[in-house]
Amino acid sequence: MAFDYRQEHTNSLRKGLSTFIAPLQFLVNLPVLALDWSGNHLKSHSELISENNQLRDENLILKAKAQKLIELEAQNARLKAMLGSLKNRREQRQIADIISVRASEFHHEVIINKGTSDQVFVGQSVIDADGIMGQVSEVTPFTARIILITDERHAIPVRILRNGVRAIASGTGSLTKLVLNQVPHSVDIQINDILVSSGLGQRFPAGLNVAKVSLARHRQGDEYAYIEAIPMARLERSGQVILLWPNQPQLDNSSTNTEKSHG
Amino acid sequence: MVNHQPSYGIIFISFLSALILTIIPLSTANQIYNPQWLILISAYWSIHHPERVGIVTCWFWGLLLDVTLGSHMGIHALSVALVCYMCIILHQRLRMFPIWQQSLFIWLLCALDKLVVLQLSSIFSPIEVQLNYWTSAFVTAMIWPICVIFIRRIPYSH
Repeated sequence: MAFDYRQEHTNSLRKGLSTFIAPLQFLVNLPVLALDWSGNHLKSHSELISENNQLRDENLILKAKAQKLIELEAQNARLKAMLGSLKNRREQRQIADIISVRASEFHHEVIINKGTSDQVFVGQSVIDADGIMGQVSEVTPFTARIILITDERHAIPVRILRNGVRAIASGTGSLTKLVLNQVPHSVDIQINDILVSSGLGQRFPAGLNVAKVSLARHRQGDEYAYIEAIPMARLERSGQVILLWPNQPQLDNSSTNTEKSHG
Repeated sequence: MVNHQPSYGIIFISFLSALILTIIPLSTANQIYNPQWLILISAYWSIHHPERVGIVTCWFWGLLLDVTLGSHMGIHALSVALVCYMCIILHQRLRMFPIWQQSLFIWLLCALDKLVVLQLSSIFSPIEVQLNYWTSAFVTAMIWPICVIFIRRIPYSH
């Protein structure tokens, strides 16, 4: 029957049917939204004031950090220009909400409320406040399906923040566990090392948090070391996610003679 | 004695409700207890009104379930069509059974559906399931009597 078709041929059919299913997903999401709304609107005055103060303090701290970030980015751009390398512009971002529906039977996937009408595309990176969540695997006009990094079919190229060593982190089917593939015993890796995306494969932008190493086992007879890591993004909690649009790296205007010859 | 037929509207709404109930977000721990609503509804209509709901209808709604759950196209379609076929073949006998025996049959059908879906899904990527994967078959069988009584009370459904 139909399952004999490989996925590519049925994509248009899937897209068409998804457009019909999308209203159902929004419908199921309504009670959750109503619950959130009532939670927000029924808070006591004093609760709101204290939450306001707390957010204001947090905002101040974050703004101070952001100033430092802008300065570091400018310095980075100057250094890159001196070396004659390509200058990266910051990516464009957009916030999306996770629709509270059951997205998949066997896999780790979520559905968000932005689709092709918001320029979402397949393969787009999705992050939350703490780290990378996953990438977009399917889009319909109003929704998109995101596969999380902990899904068994997913793997993300990472590097250890401390020493720059590169590895690949695959999903295991558990929401709190990633496994690094084929890491030689000689690699210097310790528990609590932070793994960031290495940008190889040009799917995920480089430098974003991915996971923190939780287990590093070097056994005598094993071919490779066994490394486990816990994802830093809060995958099990629904909420809001950020979609990233990568901008093409630009050639710096004050480049060296080698670039001018291509002009 | 006039033979009434269920209206197409009621049939459509029942299938739609089955789809909606399938995607209700239960917490990860409780998700296994979510019954297989589409199998329940398809089995009901195939047993009691196979002249209105046939294999093609069930297959199509199975396809919609595939789209909803993001599985490869046709997996649930095939499995629901299979369940529907088995119901249609035996529908005269099944109507004679007492409800609890019908429940046993539904349990078997649900387990068959879960087996087919599991096997076909694991062709494309390795799937691991715990033993509690099969619990929802039992839950579905348990609510079969409730489903039968409930649908009979809806006007224009028989």
